[in-house]
Amino acid sequence: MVQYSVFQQISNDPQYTYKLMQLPPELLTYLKNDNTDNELVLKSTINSDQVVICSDSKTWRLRQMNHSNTALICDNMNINLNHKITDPLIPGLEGEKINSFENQLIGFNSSSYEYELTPIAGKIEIENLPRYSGDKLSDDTLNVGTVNWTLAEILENSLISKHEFFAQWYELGGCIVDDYAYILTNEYITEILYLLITILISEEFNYKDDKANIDSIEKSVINQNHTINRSILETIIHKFGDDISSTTFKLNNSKIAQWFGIQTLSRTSSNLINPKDFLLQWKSSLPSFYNVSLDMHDLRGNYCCPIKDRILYVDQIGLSSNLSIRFVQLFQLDKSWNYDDFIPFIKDFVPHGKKVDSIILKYAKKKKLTKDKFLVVPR
Amino acid sequence: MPTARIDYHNAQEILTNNITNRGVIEEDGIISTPHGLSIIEIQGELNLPSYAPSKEDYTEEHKDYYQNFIKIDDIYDAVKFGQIEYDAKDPQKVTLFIGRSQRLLGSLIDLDTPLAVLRIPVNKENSDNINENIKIIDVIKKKMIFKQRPLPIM
Repeated sequence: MVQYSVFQQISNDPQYTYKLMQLPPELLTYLKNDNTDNELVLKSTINSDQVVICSDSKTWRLRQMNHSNTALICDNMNINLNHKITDPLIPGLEGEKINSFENQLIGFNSSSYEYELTPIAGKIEIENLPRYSGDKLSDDTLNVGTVNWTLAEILENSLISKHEFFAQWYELGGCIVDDYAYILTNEYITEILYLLITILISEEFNYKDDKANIDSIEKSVINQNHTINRSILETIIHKFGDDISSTTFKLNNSKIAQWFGIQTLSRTSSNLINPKDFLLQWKSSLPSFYNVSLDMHDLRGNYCCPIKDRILYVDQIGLSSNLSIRFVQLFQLDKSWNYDDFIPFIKDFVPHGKKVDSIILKYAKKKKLTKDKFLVVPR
Repeated sequence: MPTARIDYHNAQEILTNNITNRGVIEEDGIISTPHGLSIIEIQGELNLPSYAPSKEDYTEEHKDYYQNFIKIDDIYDAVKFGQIEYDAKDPQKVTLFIGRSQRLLGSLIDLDTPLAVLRIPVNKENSDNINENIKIIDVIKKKMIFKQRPLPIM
């Protein structure tokens, strides 16, 4: 039999507190990885309502999981030999090391919770960032109450890991102008993209297969439009490019076509439009000689069909992120949705581990039309 | 927005088993990590005295009570609340004796997700550790858990 006397400290170290945190497998692997450049960062929002832990490429939400048990963290005195243990209370034995033959576990911390980590997608807060459209006057008027942050400051202030940050940063149209971070306006993105493609085509670039050189395209683009800088161009290239290296990139034609489609659709605002007319408008919004296939299905999640043969632009930003309100809003736009048109509106909001169909059945009904065609209708 | 870096240099050492051999006795290694930490989990709360009795009040008849108190590193008071026993050949069964009248039957279990022990500096002005990072001081993979009600010692 092995025996240990168990003690609990009744006065605690004033310098430190100790907490227990669960280590999910991915984080364990990360910690094992012997790379001194790796970081583990604890971040929280200003009002501390959310705390996350970020590795270089992953973000976890930290939740305090309370339990009604007492968990003591104990120090084994046979292993940590450098503690001095004395029995100060019994006269004649003060300062003596007592029971040195005895095994001792000394609890130095007692806790009724541990931190649980759940993987989440990190998020960049861009609400307070200034917008950039290349037009100084209009930018100054629009950017009232925004903050001037450097890229490092935004990374520090967003609940997101480094790698996720850069992937999202370009997608959101983030760029650096005069050392400060800006978000490009959609109109400006369209303008630069149009210019970029026009220049590439004028240089007889095969936009379907060829790789373009970033340095040479930078010169041509900045020559044509002085408001553009390297950072802006890089953002556009990362947002609409494929196969990007430090010097070359390919165009992601389907993504570009989709971008022009959504921008054209958004200009129709609240007017109902015939899909055939819309396809013509979409086609004419693209740069000349830029021939890519256009498919209405690529724009799903941006329109609804309240009347037969008419589509209406739906701005996802205007919809609630609360699923039950979102369903109500969507049914206000259209009483009966084509299943495939409906899914893109809700799929990002489906809780982890749940199926899209089970969410639809919770807030609405699925109606069978033909063998493999369904409608989503209100209950 | 507050941001804090976590120093996990230790965790790397622990997880890659790259620690210097401190001559850990085999039996200690059963319940403790190579850094000497272990977790004891019991139901409810431990009801312990909040301070050690004063030496001046010592009388021979209270010797047993006084013997439970020790001082660690000449600073911290600690009180003995029990004794743990296990068979090194079958360490899954652990018994915790509380005082002379109760025993708890428990087990040594592997944790589903290992637990990191975070050491967090308490922020105080004028303290030396104001710029010190939060540190993972150990990773614990098993704990002793006592789920049952206490049994009397016959």
